Amino acid sequence: MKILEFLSDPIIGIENWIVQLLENWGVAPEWQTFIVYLIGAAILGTGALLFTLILIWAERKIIGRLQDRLGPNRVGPWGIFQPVADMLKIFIKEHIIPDEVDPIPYHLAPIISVASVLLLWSVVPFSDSVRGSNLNVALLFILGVGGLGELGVILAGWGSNNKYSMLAAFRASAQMISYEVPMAIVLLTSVILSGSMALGDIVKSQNIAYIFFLPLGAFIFFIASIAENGRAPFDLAEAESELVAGFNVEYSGLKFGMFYVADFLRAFTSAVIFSSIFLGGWRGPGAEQIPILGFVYLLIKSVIVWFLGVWIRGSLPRFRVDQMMAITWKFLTPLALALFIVVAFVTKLIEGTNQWLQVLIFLVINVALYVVGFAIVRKCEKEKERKVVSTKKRALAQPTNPFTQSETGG
Amino acid sequence: MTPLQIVFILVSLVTILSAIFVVSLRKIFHAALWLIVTLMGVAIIFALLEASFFAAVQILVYIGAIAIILIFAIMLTRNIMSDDEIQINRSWGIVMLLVLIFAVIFISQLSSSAVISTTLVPLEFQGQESIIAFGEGLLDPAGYALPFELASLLLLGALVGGVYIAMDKKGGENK
Amino acid sequence: MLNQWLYIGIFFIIAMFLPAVAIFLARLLSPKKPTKIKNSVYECGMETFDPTWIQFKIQYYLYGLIFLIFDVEIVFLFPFAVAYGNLALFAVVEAIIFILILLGGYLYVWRKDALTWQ
Repeated sequence: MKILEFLSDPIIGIENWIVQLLENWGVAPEWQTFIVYLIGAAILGTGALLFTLILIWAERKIIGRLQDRLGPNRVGPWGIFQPVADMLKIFIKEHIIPDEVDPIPYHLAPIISVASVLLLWSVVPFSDSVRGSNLNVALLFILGVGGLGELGVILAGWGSNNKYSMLAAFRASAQMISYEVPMAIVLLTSVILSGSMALGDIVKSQNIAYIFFLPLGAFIFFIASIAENGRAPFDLAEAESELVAGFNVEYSGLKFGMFYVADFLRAFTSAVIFSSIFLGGWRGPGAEQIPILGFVYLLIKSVIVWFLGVWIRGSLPRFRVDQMMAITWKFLTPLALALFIVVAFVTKLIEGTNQWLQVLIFLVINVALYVVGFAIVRKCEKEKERKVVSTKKRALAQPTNPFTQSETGG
Repeated sequence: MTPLQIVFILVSLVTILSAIFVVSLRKIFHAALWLIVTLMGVAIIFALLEASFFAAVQILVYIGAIAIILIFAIMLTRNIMSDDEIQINRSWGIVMLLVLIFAVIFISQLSSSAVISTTLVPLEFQGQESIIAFGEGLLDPAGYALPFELASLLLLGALVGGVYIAMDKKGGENK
Repeated sequence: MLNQWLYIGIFFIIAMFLPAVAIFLARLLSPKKPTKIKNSVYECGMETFDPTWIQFKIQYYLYGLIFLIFDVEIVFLFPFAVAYGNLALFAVVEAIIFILILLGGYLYVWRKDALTWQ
């Protein structure tokens, strides 16, 4: 019976065991919390970083399949040890430091990039009992840590002493701050429903997952988080045709590896946060009684969301920079503001009615807003003439085909 | 000393030192980076005072937005990396001495007065409650509803004014 | 509450520490053979000219400014959203007026074409 109890909630079991152990050693209670927190944070951080190895493999495999390739398939069964081999390789690669870099920003940038992703894991609830920190301002914290990511990008761009990285860093940070606006507004609407900014409380209040209340909000948040992570189709910051490879051109060895890890981990982390806010996080049948099930539910939901992101990455072409800015400032932000105003108003009016009726009303509102928003965009697009990219008239390239020419000309 | 006090002293030292760097470094970009450290220190002090909301706002608004804006603004200036300008004038020694004397008097007077006590007072509202109370006060017509609306007007003014100055006047063309 | 921040503080230190240690170890393990060409700035094979840290266009600053205003607005609305359950309809109307005032500024910016990337 004891074993079953332990298996149903192993993390808390281990935590209690450590606390017991420290108590026997005569450690003061404050230091007990400190040590438990330290161990927890170290395990979670290392675990998240190692988890990236699986993510990288899975993403390469999925993208390969989407593009009708095999993907990695040599090292181990299904190429599953490919990232391990890559990691070993990148670990012993030379660190080329270009002349005249600005040393402190240059060396600090990859560290801050990884830290800004890892920090997000500190507020994620994994089950009813296991969570890092039920911070009462978790959502603001998540947005603020996003700002730390921007800082990492800017530091990298500035420190590298390279015009391309500079340009890419500024583009990337302009993109990130622009997409933070609709994201934050959507978070506001979810706070109205839950009445709390703590991620743990938000998950707990979702008797019905918020995606049914706010499908439009979830849609906006999903797009904004893809853009905020700078992944395709919003990967303009690393547009290899214009900007070589983005803000990290001048990085090599494990410093580049850190940006790479941060990129892949951020994609999954935002999937975890999405599923915590909109899909009910760890909640599911039996998760309250058997906390370990909560992990499984959270993992399944996050993987589904993450897979959607990878799918989009594998199938859509890249946006132009003006299109990208127009999407957030002229479509997502007004839509999110309208959603917020309507939700704030309607929630007060239908307070206390049947929950399923509420879901129905919200669904109708969301769909209506979406349809109206799209109709307005369509109308504006039709009225506006297509923007001429260059005012000068250029000669068209006319490739001559010798085979057809000889046939028709002869 | 409690651990809390040690953390507080360390953080304030870092904050003050980086603030000194902000005003004394010649490379303006580096000054901006040190400003970020200063703001981070202030955020940590807010967190130590259990003002969670303000700690988060400090990170979100000051580090996430204002620091970025500052860096953008720096990139607008010419000769960013030139550091030929002398930043101190000849009488800096005397000024330093005066500042020190003033600081010693000021701090000794303040620390002996009972008005400014530095003990942690348990808060009336804990955790989520504090933010709820804050929100209620902010929107209460008898409370801060008018300043709340005025803040929006202020933001409106900042937005319109900023864009008006930044854009060229000729029909909004900016080439 | 302080405990929550303690955890985040510890986590922050660990989050900085892990990549730093990894990079440091890799630095020890990796070969170091710098040459003049290898260490030059990469610019598609061309020789670089002019300093890197040049003047940028004002567009970035404009976006930053608009973002800042919205950020502050959202920060004001977060306490409203948290306290929503305890508020009367009147307070909700207040918050909506708060947004509508700013929407005016948004429309102005839009009309000024400051939102279009040029």
